[in-house]
Amino acid sequence: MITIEDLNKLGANTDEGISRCMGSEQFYIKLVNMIPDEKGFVNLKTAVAEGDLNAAFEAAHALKGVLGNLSLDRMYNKCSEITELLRARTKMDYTPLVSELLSMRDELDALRD
Amino acid sequence: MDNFVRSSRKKRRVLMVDDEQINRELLEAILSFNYDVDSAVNGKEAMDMLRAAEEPYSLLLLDLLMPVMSGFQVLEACKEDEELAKIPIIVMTSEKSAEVRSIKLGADDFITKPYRMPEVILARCERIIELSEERALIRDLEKDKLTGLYKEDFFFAYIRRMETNSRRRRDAVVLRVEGFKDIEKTIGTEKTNLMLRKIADSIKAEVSVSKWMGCYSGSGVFFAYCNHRDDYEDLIGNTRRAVSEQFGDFALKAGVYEKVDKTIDPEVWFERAGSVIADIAEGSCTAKYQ
Repeated sequence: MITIEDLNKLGANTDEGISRCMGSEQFYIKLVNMIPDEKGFVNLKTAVAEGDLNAAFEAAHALKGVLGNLSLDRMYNKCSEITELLRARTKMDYTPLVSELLSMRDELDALRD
Repeated sequence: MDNFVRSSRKKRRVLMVDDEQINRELLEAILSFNYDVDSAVNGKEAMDMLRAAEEPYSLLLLDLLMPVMSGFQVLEACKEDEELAKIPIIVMTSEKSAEVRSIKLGADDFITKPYRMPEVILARCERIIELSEERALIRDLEKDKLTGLYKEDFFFAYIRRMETNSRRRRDAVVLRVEGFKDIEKTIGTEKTNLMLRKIADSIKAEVSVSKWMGCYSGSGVFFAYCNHRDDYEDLIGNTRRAVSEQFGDFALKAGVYEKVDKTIDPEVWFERAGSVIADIAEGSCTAKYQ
């Protein structure tokens, strides 16, 4: 089960996230629990594998939004980095960056068990 | 009295649109503090809900990048719809460039992503709704209910505001239904009102094409303020013929004060235009103030 302490260790700004959730820790945790299932991760991975930078940008941009709203700062920063490169449609291998982001997702997912 | 007003006021209903469930849940939790909240997952669903709503939503909160129909497309669609254009819209975006574009498309404000603190969001929503309701009140008060044209006070106030820095040459036109009282006695009030509406519609048609401003002054008298044109015979004649087809023949005369002197009061322009109607020659329907 995800705890505030776990999230702080993963680089989240939980005070800010809880404030955004009207001060409800329970509500914040409920929303954070939904993050590993976010389809944006799969969409981003697929789009990058297919070389579709437009779709990849949309996926990264949407993901960035939800990560930011929950102040999952470490994941947000990584996602922002990817988003800005994709915004410029930078021609590069995105796989390492996306893999890093997916690893962070997996870390969070592991805490749900 | 204040407590009575507060307790009898229904909670306002807002619609928020975002394709991300987490964003929807978060925003709904914040907005539910003050409002009843409906949500949509894309622009198309939002448009369906806006159109089907029994009572207009007090506010639309709109994400921009969405599948099926984007927030930009929703903004454009709302702008084209007379009723939906009255609903205030706050867009939600992390993109600076999108802020400017969405304001230009008619959005009233924006909320940045990641969201600011709930208190900030609620305060912005409240303010935008207040402004919108004040605008709606003015819209209700400024127009004559029968013709849909401006009432005199608002007509002159808007002219003054419009002309503060304008150098355009404009004409003041007074249109008068001759023998209005007799017509009303003959065909009855209901038919007379329909006739007045038809004349007003003709003026409104010119509003969209030639940027007229129209006013119904009462007793069969209309004011129109428009960019200068050399001749009004055809326009007045066509209006009279179109209305006569439906309501029987009548005389519609117009006095024109051309290229108004903007150093004098607008009310005087229309007095001058009206003063020459009596001098209209046989066979004509317009006269110009010299």
